[in-house]
Amino acid sequence: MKTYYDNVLKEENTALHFPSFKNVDGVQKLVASMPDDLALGEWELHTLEDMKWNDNHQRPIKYWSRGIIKSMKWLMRQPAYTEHFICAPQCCFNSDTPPNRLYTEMHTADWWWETQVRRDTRV
Amino acid sequence: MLTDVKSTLTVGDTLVPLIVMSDGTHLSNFAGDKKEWPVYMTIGNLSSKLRQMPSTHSVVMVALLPIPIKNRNIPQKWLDEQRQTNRKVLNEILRRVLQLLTFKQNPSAESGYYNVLCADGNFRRCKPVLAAWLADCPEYSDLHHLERHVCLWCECPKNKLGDYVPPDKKHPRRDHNLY
Repeated sequence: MKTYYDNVLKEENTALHFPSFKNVDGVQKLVASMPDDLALGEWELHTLEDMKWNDNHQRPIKYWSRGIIKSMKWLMRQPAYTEHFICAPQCCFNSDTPPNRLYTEMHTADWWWETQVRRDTRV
Repeated sequence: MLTDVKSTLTVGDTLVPLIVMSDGTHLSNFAGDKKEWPVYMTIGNLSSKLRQMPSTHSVVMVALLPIPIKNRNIPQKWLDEQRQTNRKVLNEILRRVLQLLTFKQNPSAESGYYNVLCADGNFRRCKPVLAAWLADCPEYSDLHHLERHVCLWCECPKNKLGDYVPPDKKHPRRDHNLY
């Protein structure tokens, strides 16, 4: 099926000579095949070979999953999140005397300080 | 354990707290009660203002857990054994899904660190850590294999929930490794 955009792409002589996508699956396959972790990982069907529910249910146990590190990398490199990206903890104060500490976001709380910053290098 | 960070990061490393969410969802009463059990993930480096907007797609689905068979079809004497099996299966699957986050206690080991391209164009040496698991109360009791309507964090008896406890007589914390 040829559409208007196919003709335009051909006239513009771009490298994109594939016809229009017929369904979402085609688009997602192409996006998932992008190299170098640029895309979210594809779904994988895993099977637990050595486990079963019980003797009456002998079917193998299956579950779907996707690489958690690939997903993390995908979230980290999104240009849309640049303004809201946080990579270091902060201490927010409301007033100097007496110091009023504000706890709002995740990086303003104590957990991030205790996990990332070593005690001897803390200011 | 996955959540235990014994030593802090070295200078220059970036912490990536992973926030994982899960909830069993009832889909249909037809064809024998269909359910889904998705596990979602987001990172704590994004501000909560951005994270809470669905249109930003900052929450990623990472796994679909299998639904255990119904307890109704199992005779009473096998029920405890079946619960043990369900517990083992769920633990095994979650262990496999989160396997890449585990790291050795040896600080010189490079496991658990990843060079990640960040949104501002720089590469950072990142350390993903499982920071939080968000779920509602029935989901927590499913994940921890507890009874329904009990306190998830301390060993408070069911009939004492909501009573005043003096600070020196607090109930002991639940050791989730025992279940």
